[in-house]
Amino acid sequence: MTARIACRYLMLVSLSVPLASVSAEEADTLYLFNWSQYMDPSIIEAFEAEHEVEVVENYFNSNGEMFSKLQAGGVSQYDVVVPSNYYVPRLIESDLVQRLDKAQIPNLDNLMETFIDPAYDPGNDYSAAYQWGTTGLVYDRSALGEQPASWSVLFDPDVNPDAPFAVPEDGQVTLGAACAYLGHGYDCTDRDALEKAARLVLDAKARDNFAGFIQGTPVLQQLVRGSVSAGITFNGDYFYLKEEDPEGFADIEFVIPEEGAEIWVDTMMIPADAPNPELAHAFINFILDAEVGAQLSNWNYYSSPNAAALPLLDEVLQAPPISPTDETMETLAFTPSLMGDELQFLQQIWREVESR
Amino acid sequence: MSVTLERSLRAFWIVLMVFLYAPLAVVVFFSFNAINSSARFAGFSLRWYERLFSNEAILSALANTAVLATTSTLLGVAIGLLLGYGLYRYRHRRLAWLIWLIYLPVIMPDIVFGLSEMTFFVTLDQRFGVLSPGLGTMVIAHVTFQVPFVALLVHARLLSLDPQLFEACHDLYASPWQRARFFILPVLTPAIVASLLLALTLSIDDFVISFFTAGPDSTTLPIYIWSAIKKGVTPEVNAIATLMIVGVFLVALSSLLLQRRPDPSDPS
Repeated sequence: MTARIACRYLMLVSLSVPLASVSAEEADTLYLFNWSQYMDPSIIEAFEAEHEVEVVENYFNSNGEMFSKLQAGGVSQYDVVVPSNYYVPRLIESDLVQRLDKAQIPNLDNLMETFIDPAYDPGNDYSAAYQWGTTGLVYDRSALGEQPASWSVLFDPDVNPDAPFAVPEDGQVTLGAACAYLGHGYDCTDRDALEKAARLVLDAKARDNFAGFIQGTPVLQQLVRGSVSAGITFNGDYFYLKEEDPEGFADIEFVIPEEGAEIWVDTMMIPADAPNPELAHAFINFILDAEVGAQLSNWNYYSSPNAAALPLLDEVLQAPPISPTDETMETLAFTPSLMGDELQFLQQIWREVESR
Repeated sequence: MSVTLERSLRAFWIVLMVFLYAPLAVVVFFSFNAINSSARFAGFSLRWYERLFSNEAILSALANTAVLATTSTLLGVAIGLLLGYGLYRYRHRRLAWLIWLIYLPVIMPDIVFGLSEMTFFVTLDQRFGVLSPGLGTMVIAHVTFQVPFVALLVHARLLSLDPQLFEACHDLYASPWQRARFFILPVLTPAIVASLLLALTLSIDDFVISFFTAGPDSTTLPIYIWSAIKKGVTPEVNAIATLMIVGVFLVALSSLLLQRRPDPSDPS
């Protein structure tokens, strides 16, 4: 008898837990799925105060992780996600995102020309730029001396015979850099060029001073530690950490190689079944405000896609390499959004490089 | 024992301790760094602890971890206790093979378990609109992996008892309630305490299964740490880790003290 009552109590408790979590979702809440250390907390507070809502921010580590989370039910749980440009077509293709209602986002007009009607999302039908940046070369002047802005620091054994160097395990970035060094441009998709690039990376990998595959952000800590002397990183993370530790970064230089490099942009998109699309539109409009946009860039040291925000940026953000010269801009290219066979070929060739 | 053997055993012991604790010491050390770097120590500061306690995301992750761990532990131990007892009570009915069904979740890799739970919950949510990923689904998932451990502990403890003790209860006209209250529960107390601590640790530790079953509102500390290390390990993450190390240390210490308390049922 007692056991039965105990059982019933247990059932009651286990039922009430999921119910409680359901009712909590009914309050006006914006669910934001973003990269970490990418959003100034005071912007979130300002938005919460202005719209009298709660903002819950979750973080992801890679576009792939975000994509699979959306596929596994996240499509009806998040209001705004922040994918990189080359993932935008994949999200649209998979029906995971919805069209933007531009009438609700008047601040779209603030966007720079580069980000209006971009190749990855013609007409900005689905996405609005959040922040952009470049993926360039970072090296330690005390180990390598003053170097010209060129990928040769990584790929030419004569330029760098013995200082340890690393490249990211992200195949598209590393192969792109190798392609650019070979003169095919960062955004090469030609199979021949990709194969040559893969051979170049394999040659680099065989050298004694190859330190391994290290991603753009952790490689910066290794440079400060001195265990790596050259690598590939993002402009924003470099300046963010340099500001924090000017002494450690005194000899560490970030350059955009002349042969061409990546320009990327992270965009705000609304999942297809977002719980609160209206609030999502309001949030996107809020971020695209001139002052908010400037505050965001001043906080995370990435370039602002917001033309109206440019005059309000800190000095370091207005100068190259965060705001590249027009000349440099010419050499920058978006990572091509590969699909189907092309994507498979790239993945296959990269697996080969990694495993050999 | 020969002197050389004793010496090499001692050396082995020291090496073991270094490998166990040196990495933890590094984590604790860098949590007091004055700058945002895991490469260079620029001076002592408590700024990361200050930031930690004003960071809403971390505090809510902490709260989620605590709610999830206590709820799932209480449920898991209760269900596991009943299951362990049931397995013992009906062990003669040619049902002994059922124990293998319980071993299965213990042996199965977390990632398989997590993936299948996720698929299950997502399907339920899409078909019937119940159990959308969140603390509720996480509690269910955690209870599911805690129950086998508890049941096995309880079952093993019961098997170690002399079966005649049950007959003795019967001979003394104990009602089922009295038998449970004055015999079964007291002899099971050590197993229950061990189960509580084990289930609690399993739940706090778990990343893989939580990761697959969590919703946007139910980020736990391990999930938060995972998502925050993309930008390299910041001293803030070190500070969380330090607090977790201290917490685990305190729990271990209290369980040690509890065990050293003289057992009242022990005649000596």
